Amino acid sequence: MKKYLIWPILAMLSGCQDSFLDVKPDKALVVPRTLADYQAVLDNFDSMNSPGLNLIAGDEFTASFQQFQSWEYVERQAYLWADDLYSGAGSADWDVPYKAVFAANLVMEGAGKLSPGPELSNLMGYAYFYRANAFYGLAQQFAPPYEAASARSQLGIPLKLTTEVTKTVPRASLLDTYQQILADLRQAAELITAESVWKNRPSRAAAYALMARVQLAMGDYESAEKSASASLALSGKLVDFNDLDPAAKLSFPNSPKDANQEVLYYNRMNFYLFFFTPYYQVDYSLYASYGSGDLRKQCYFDTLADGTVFYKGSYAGSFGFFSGLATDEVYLTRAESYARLGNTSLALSDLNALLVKRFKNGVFKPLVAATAEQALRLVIAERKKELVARGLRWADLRRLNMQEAFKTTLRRRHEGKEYVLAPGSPRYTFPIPSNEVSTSGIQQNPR
Amino acid sequence: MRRSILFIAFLLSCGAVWAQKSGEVTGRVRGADGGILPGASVVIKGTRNGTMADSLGRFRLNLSADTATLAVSFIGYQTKEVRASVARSLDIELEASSSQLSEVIVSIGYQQLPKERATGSFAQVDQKLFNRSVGPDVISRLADVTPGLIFNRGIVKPGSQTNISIRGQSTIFAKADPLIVLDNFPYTGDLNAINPNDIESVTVLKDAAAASIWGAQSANGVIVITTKKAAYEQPLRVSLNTSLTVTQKPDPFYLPRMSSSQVIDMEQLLFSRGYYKTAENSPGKPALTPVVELLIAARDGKISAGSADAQINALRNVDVRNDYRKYLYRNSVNQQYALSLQGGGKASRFHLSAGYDKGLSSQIGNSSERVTVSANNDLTLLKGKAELSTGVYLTRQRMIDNALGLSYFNLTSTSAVYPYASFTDESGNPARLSHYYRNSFLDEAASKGLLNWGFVPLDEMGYRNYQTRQLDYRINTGLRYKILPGLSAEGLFQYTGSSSRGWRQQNQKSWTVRDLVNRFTIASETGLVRPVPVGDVLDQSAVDVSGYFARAQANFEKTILEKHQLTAIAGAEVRDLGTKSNAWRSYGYDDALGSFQQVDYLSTFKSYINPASASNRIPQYGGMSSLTDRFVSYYANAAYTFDGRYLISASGRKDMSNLFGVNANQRGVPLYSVGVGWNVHQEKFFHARWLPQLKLRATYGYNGNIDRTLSAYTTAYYSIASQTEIGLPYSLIRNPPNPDLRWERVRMMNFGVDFKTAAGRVSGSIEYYIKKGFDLIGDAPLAPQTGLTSYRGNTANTSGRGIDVLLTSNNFQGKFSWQTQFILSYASIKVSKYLPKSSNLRGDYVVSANGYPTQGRYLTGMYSLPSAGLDPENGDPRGWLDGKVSKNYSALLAVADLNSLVYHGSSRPLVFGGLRNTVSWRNWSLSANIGYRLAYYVRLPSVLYSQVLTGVTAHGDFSKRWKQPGDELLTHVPSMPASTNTNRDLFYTGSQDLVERADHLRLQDIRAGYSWNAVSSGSFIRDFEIYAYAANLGVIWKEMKGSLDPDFVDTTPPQRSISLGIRANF
Repeated sequence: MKKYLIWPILAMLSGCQDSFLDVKPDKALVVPRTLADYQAVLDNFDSMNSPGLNLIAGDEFTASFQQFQSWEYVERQAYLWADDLYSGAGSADWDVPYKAVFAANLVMEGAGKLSPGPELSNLMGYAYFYRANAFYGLAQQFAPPYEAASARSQLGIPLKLTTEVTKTVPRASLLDTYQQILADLRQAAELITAESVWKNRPSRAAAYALMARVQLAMGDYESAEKSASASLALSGKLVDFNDLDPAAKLSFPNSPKDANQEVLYYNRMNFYLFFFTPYYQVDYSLYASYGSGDLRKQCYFDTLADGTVFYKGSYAGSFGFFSGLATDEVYLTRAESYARLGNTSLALSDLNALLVKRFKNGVFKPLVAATAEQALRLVIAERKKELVARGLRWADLRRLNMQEAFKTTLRRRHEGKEYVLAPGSPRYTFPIPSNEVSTSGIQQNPR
Repeated sequence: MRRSILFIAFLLSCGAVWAQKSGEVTGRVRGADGGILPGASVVIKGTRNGTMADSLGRFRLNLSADTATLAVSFIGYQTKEVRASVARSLDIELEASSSQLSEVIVSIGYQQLPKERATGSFAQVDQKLFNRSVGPDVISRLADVTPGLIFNRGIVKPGSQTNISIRGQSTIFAKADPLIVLDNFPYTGDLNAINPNDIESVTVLKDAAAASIWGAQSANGVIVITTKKAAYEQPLRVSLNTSLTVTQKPDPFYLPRMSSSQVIDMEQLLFSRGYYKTAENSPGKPALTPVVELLIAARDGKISAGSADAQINALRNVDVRNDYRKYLYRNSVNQQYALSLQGGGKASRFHLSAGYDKGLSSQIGNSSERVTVSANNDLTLLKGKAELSTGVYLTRQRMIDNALGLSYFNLTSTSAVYPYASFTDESGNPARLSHYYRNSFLDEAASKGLLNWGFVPLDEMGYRNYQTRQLDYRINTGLRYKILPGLSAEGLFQYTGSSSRGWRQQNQKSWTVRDLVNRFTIASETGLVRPVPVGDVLDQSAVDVSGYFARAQANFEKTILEKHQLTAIAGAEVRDLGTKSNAWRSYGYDDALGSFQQVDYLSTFKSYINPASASNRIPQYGGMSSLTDRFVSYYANAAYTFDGRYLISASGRKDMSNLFGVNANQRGVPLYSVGVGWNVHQEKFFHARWLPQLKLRATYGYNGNIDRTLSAYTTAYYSIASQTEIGLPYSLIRNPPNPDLRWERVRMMNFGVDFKTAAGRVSGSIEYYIKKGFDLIGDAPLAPQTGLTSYRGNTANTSGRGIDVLLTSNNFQGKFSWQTQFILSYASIKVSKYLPKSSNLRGDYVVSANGYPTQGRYLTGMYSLPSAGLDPENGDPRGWLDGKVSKNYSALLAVADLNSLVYHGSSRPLVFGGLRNTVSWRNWSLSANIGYRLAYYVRLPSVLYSQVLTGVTAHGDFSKRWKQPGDELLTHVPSMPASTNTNRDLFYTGSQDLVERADHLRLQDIRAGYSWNAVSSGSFIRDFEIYAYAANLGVIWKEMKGSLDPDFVDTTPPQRSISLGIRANF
């Protein structure tokens, strides 16, 4: 009797049970399935941020004892090039780029189920670009500088190419690391066709620009010149600083939507206390290096009441320090490549094309050089002055220190003690956070 | 007794009479307490003819003669002989047997069972014990009277209904509080919406046999709450209960902190070092304290040094905590009124109740009101074959939150108000505090036409209108139909929900609104432009929960050949609960017109304070969410009793839910339990007269738990475009893919003995259990190269055991009586498997509250850094590094080996319970409850020099710091360093010097009452009680030194309260 009563109810329940239980527990919860879902994952540009500790370790900014005291532990340690940076904690500089890699891999894995078309092609192109950009950022901070001769035997970074979270990979060789970055960028340059009003979505020109940046780091000047030319052919616009208001609190707009026209790809660095006024000051010799009529001095810098010089020229406005790609860098990369390849006039023409937009109207006298060597020195000097706080200086120090002519020793005085970072020091490669080493067992960097 | 039978017989004969046949006697069996006794046995004395009462306690029996003597019995009641004659209806009331063991009927939410026939572990709080305390909510009344149940004081887990653990914590990350079952259905609503005066009894289900019928929600234990119902054939009864509770205002001086004078000394020191230079020049114009402003004025020659000193010294004796006490706190008052009516006829019964509660909180400006109304009604239909029950329960609450919390008083967004702040000036008028921005900047802004930007706390108090109104409702219907003798079917349906409306109106005169308007003000040549309009800011919110539960169940109960008794239930259940919430803000609200103004949420504005900050958007408060919980469950439960001696029980349940979003085969989890019991005293061979009751029982089974935040797929959340700083919607990855996700399971074995000595002198129960958790959800650290730093999955197992003891001793009985009840609980839960390893030992073990799950250690462990005492030369804290005394703090903090941490033990009490003594003399009674908690550790807060050296009011241990050689023998508080050394602070605050045994005894409450029972039933008042109750009387013994309550080392403990009340039945 009991059976007769219960079975119809059970049958009724089980009949509709599956669809009844298929309802999402939370409407806001999305399992990414559509092209728009995947695009939204890639648009989370906080997870695309670049490493920022290298700026603290570099020679563009410095700090008083009071300013130093106000930073986080990791910042203080990075500033003094200490043995241990993280005190057992993880580091956003390692974690965030790998978040970007995860997002890119997620899109690449999921895209197979989407219908092909130009939108999908762009989406895939973005994914390749973001992965390349993340790997490049990691390689500049956590892998040794690239030397063609030893790249096969040196360790690069783990090249995680799938979303499986339970599977880890060892560090690839430095050669494989850079080859992977270039392969991803070649895909990106091929797949991206659209220009988006949102500059956090890279353009094809951005893919070539990043390729040029990578090739420069590898010392492959011929390729760097080709990539830079490909990028400038697509987009070579420069901002004329005469159109800027030197008195403005910030020289450039905030949003990736109305970023200035030099921006090819909008990206910024991980946030550190260091980056907030008044927690740092601009290195005096850098500040003093701008000649008269050079508008960058007013457009990039301002002074607090107590004389502290701070930086206001970020292409990300007040949203932090810009670490994306812009045409000014591409001009300088191509100028350097030409100079290295011995083409003095083309090097100077690129350099002057940029600088004429940086000086007060009518003041600028085009630079001249007798030799390619001289032209190269001019380009390297201007590179430091133009690309302030872009997260490029550290990579430049690393590669230039391998050349006798450009070796630089960094020095800091702190609490009566002198700290020195010699060219070629292993401290130009950051230690890998210990939570990575202990969980995946990858090899730590020598310090 | 006889009188009441006659009385009831009289009532019966007046009413409609149950259909009778000749040669047949009918009647019903009830307990003296009015409860029906389904299944009571009615036997004609001297024969084997008999029957069993039906679910309503009714029976009919053929008599062979015109009259006969019936023997009526029921487990837990004294057998009674009644003279019966044909064609007469009998109403038989059984007296409860004096056996405490048997009088208990436990409810598991699906069925009621006599405790003697149960194998599982139940703890029951009856109405008398429940009403011993006076709290306005149901759950707090269970404290210290229920074995195995502990309130985790000072631990607030967001999103939990309660902070209770039953038999220790069963989970790491999933829901940790027990399932609350109210009138047969899980209750996920607001516990404050239940009026305790409506409660009949509370049963706590502790082991698998008791709780596994609740399946996947039962791993943390189940609390079954049953509301009052009337009995059939009961005259109208009216009950009234009212009480008044007054609680002392909180003591702002309880937590030690630096004195005003000490802070001023530090400010002077820091000023001389130029510490405030950065803030002084900061474009954010941060507020500086009055002392720093005076020092600046003296430095700049605006006032003389002497004048500055005099003004500063005057502040040394000012303590803002006096103003807290005076202007922010009051004694809180809580009033309760409850009225109920109940009665029953032959075929119907009803219970109506109404309650009104009003509370004035200890924070001036906060209060609450609650109105509860309930009506339930049962109708017997179809000649007693069917019973239709309906119940409606409504609760209306209004909470007013106009108090200015302490967090409202800040110097800046990161530091609290200065300790020498004063809410009034010398002449007693409301005074302005230094708050967020420098006064010089504010005065300058005011001169340019901006709104007055000053913060005057006493004026602020009238500028808020925050209230929440909430309606909770439950509508129950049930139909029970008796198909055959012993077999019935029932369908239950509940429609339930709540609707809550929040109204948070900030007056345009309030500082928050003025600040918002001013920050966005643009000063242009044509005048001031205000993107945020001048007007009230109104935040509204609406949360609506609604859903239903439906259950179909078959009940079977039969006694075969007298000795074999079988009961079984089987059923299916569906549950669907949806929560929709929605919140929005209106600017420029005008209460007189009911209108608001549009603002531009999308554009970015420059800050008036710091024009370099250009990317500010007008804050948008709002959002919406829609959540759905669905369950489909099947369950069955059967118990077999042989001859009242041997018991076997089994239950099984399968739950399926929409929570995981995984393949159908992983959605559900089958859980089961089995149990056996042996009533030893029923054995013929058992002759111990001194031990009339002895029962042994054992159970085994599984309970489940779920973590509703997890999913098997990669999931993401969309952000709202206008709330992202770039204005582009994007989604955040929330969950990595996890196809192997499973439900948590807890396996429990329970062994119990229940006993009672002759005449009930000593009775009690002792239980031992072994509890193992499987597939517990845990965080595994991942290599960050995977894109995630940790991963939540089924990674942990736990293993625990414990003891629950309940002993009641009647030391004296008679006119003067003295009863002692002793509760002892021991619960030890250790981790038996946890694969992930910590990569940040200090952070995971020392900084995090419960340590890190570690194999072989307590789930809630207490760890610290080993200390080598203070350096006798300069008072630096010292630790141990590779066996040597060290002051290399960064190395001491970078602990690499778990063995180099001190493992103290558990951070939750392993042993706890209570001791309650009740003495009574004639109509007077007095009882006191002492709670105790033993074998656990607490980490004390102490002074952080990073605070001291930034001018923040730090912990009062500052006064106990090392000052000169020799002090290291008297104190463990380090000396003040010359400059901030964060690692030194971190080492000290994590060191073993600050971990103490928290064991203590607490006088929980004292209750005195005078009660009176009507001797004759004709009296207007049947009984009444007048009582006084004092609670939170303080710690009476503790292991650690100092003035702090071990359970409240960083918050203020609940204050002493006293209640007066009257309870009367008419």
